[in-house]
Amino acid sequence: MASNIIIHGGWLEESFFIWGERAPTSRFDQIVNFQYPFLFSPFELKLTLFQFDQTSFYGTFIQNDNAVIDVPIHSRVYSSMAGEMTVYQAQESMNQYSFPLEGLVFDIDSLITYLPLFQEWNDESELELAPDLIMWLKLFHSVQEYIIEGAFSPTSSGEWQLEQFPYEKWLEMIPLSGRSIRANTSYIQKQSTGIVTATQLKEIVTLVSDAMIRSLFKAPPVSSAYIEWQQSVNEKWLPFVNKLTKTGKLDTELSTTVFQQQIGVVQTKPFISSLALQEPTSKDGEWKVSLCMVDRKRPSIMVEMDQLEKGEHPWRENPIAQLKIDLQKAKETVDILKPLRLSAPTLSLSPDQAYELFTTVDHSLEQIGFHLIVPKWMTEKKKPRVKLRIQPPEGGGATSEPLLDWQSVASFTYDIALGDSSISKKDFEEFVDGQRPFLYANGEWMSWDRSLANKLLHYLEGAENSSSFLETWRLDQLEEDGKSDLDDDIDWDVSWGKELTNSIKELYTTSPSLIQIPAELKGELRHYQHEGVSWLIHLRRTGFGGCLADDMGLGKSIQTIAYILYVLKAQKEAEVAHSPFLLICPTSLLYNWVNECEQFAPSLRVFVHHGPTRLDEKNLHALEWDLVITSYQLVVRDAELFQQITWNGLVLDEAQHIKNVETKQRRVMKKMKATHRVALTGTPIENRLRELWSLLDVLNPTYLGSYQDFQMTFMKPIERDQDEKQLQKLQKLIHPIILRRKKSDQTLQLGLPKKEEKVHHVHLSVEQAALYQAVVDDIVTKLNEVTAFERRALILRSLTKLKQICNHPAHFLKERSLEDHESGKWDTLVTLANDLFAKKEKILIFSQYKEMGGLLTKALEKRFKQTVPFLHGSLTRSKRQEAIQAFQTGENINFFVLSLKAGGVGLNLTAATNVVHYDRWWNPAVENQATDRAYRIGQTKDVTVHKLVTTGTLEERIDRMLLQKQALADQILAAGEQRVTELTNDEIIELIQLTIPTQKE
Amino acid sequence: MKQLEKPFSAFWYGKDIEVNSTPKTSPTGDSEDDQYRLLKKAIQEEALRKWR
Repeated sequence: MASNIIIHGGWLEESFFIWGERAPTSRFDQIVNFQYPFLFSPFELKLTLFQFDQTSFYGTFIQNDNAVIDVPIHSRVYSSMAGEMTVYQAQESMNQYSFPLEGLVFDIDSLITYLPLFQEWNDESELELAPDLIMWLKLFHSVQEYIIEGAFSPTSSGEWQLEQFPYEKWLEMIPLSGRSIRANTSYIQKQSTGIVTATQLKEIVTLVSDAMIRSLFKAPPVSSAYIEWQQSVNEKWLPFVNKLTKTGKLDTELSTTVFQQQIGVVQTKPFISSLALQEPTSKDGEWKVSLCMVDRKRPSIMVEMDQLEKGEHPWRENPIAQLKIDLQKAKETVDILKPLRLSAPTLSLSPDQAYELFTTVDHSLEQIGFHLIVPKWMTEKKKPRVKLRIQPPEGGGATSEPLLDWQSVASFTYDIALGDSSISKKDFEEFVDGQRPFLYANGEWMSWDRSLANKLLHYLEGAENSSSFLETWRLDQLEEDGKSDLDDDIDWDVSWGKELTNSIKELYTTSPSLIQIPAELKGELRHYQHEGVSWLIHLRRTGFGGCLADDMGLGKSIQTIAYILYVLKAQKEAEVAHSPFLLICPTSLLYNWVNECEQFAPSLRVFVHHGPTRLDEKNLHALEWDLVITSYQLVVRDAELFQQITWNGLVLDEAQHIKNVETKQRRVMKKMKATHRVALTGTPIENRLRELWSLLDVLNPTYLGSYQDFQMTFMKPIERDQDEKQLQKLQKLIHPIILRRKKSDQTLQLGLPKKEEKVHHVHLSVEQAALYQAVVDDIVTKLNEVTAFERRALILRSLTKLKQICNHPAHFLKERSLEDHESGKWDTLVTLANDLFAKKEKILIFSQYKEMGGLLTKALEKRFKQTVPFLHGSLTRSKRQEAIQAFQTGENINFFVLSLKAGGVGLNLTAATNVVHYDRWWNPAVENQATDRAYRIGQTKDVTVHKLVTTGTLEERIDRMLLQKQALADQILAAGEQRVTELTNDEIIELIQLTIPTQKE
Repeated sequence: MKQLEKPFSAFWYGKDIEVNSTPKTSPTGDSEDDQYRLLKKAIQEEALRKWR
């Protein structure tokens, strides 16, 4: 027969902790080292203890938690009520050992609910209550008796405590076993202890008495008596009184004695000894403080000393005796008050003494029962207003040139006001420098936090010498943001010069005033493109770098070329010498740019720094070129050369190349000197907000603050907490420097044909399902064995395997053809291809894997008996052009297989009317870019995008994530309403499960 | 239940000390029927009804 379950009780921080142990039934019972040896499973424990309790659904809803118990050992032997064992891992000399433990936890309110049930366990034959639990139950009973007898009172922290409770005795009575439980995280945090002092026990007992009394408030006679008491209490004490009906406690410095006096728990006299502080009528006059008496319930009734002496007061009892006692205490506590006497009840004070009385001493006076009456203005908190008047430097030169270098040191004047009174700079400086406690200006006294004023003066002095215009602009933009003390406590008002104000305003309008397109531009601009160029010019004039983030295919190149032409023309008209523009793009797009320049701006003198033609120091300064085009790689390699001059403008094409904060590429770009910086990208946010920071910080250094600031202010609140307010602030901040138009926007009047998306849900073949499950099983086994670092690598490696299996077993097995294996996805592609082939449509097929692309190419060539071009990263430039040309013009070429990375950007493949994404990439922007090879200006037919998703696998979950990420980008750039989401670790794990291992029919 | 020896007995059992389960004197010296004392009385009555 199994022995009884021994039930123990203790406290795990603020929760009651119940755990069980049982003697081993056989000596072969497995004892797991490092765990409590005779532990009774908490799962079985709760089902046993709560088997008749419907509220907890027979124990199911009772919570478990881990803890540690510190137990005695002797010569490595541990002995408990359930048995004895040798702790082999302990050292001979140890007299204490800590075992991890698992038990049931009850927060304080549920403890009170379950107490009657705990009492019943005494009668259960298979249970045996340990002395620790028995003693805790006795203590709970004693607490109830104290409450019945009225030995309780409220504390200033809003709890109900017991009066005269013998904590010391109870500490000895409760076995150490009931006081030695502690949190199991303590070995990495501050080492916690069990309950070893009477103070610790008092905290626990107060927790219990508080919860017990609160539980009685449900009864109508108690609740109505409480409401009546609450209504009789002065408003000042309501937060404390309200807390008495709620769990937890207030953090307060107020002593319980004073609190109890104030709310009538302890009977007090109807008057209170007071000191009245009076300000001088002039700046340098003397302050005065006088003794008086105030009515406790109606503080507006104040009786001065001379009246008291004459017996002129409203109270039955003469208050002078009390005043004498209190004055003695006050003189002992506060040095300044030492000269005060009943016979000399008024004292002159210096401003500093008055300030000390008002600030530091006030609290001690209150503690001894003295009331300090101060002039009303002292307690009024007027928010200072600071008006900064920015003085931009005189503009000059061409009309296209920046009015202001935002990175340069700001020049401004300022006015300060407190409430309605303006304060002269002299008064302000005197106030701070003279360390005056109060401010006297315009014939009135004002109170102002001296440290805040001090900080403000330092800030303004510092800003005058070092703050950039951009920092001042941020202050203005984030005025209500509360980023620092100064932002929080001061209203800022920044006024910019007229021309700059107008120029900045242009940025905030949806349609800036249009510039005149230079005649040198050979080509028509659509209306939105004209607006885009005008916006770029306004940005340049205002001095801000910007990001033109139009969707692919909306003509960012022609807008950029028009912008360059306009600037060059304005500079020429103003006869200003200029350095070249520098345009940096991916290598694959170098000649696209050259072609576009030749087509739209033949007058531009373009130098391509690539291949055999390289700039050197001599021709860099020779002013022979209008535009230098080069690649990201070469700029990094030749950084020293490129950083020698200040470029007329820096254009970063496919600017997602600088999205990574840590890369050398980004650091080099940031160091480049240029009059104006422009980024071009269709996808300013691909994954995370950090990419947005990374990009905008290159365009306008410090505009979004440091990366750490940005993380704290925007990334964490938006990405983690979905903070709408911060999201709106960020939108407001970036709005003027990002221009984004989407193809789907009807107002652009693009006349593009329709784009339709079809998701094809495909099933795994039997072979795929078996392979998939085997990989999943393998991961599950290994996950528990690897370190955190290895775990990450394992998951990533496994994800690749699983995606390969979804594509085709041949891909996973690295075979050379698809023939010997079956894949549901491939079969679906074949069906789709047959259909489209019959309709003579042209199809782009993207895969992220070059190997899969190769397999698809071969298999399609064999099946459709035609050439299938395959574009991937290893092709030379001429081979690429050949492949593109063949697909665009070849009548008998229906398929074009492309690797997502090499074929995803910059290509114009409008001959295609269908785009197939054979596998899914983690990033919606990359997929959309690839789709845009076909769906762009120049496309005349409707385009269908086919996405192949394998049901029940990680592909289905990637699909779900892709939708969520699209929402993030839309939200930041276009104020969408979807909640911002991000990928979590749990999602990664969830990804790999095969939820529907369906076989292909 | 198994009886244990030192040092284990000191751990598993507390000291047997006499304590009064109720306070010796009632701490509410004042009997004036103000709002707080009415509340306190209501709490005591409810506690008595529920726990005794």
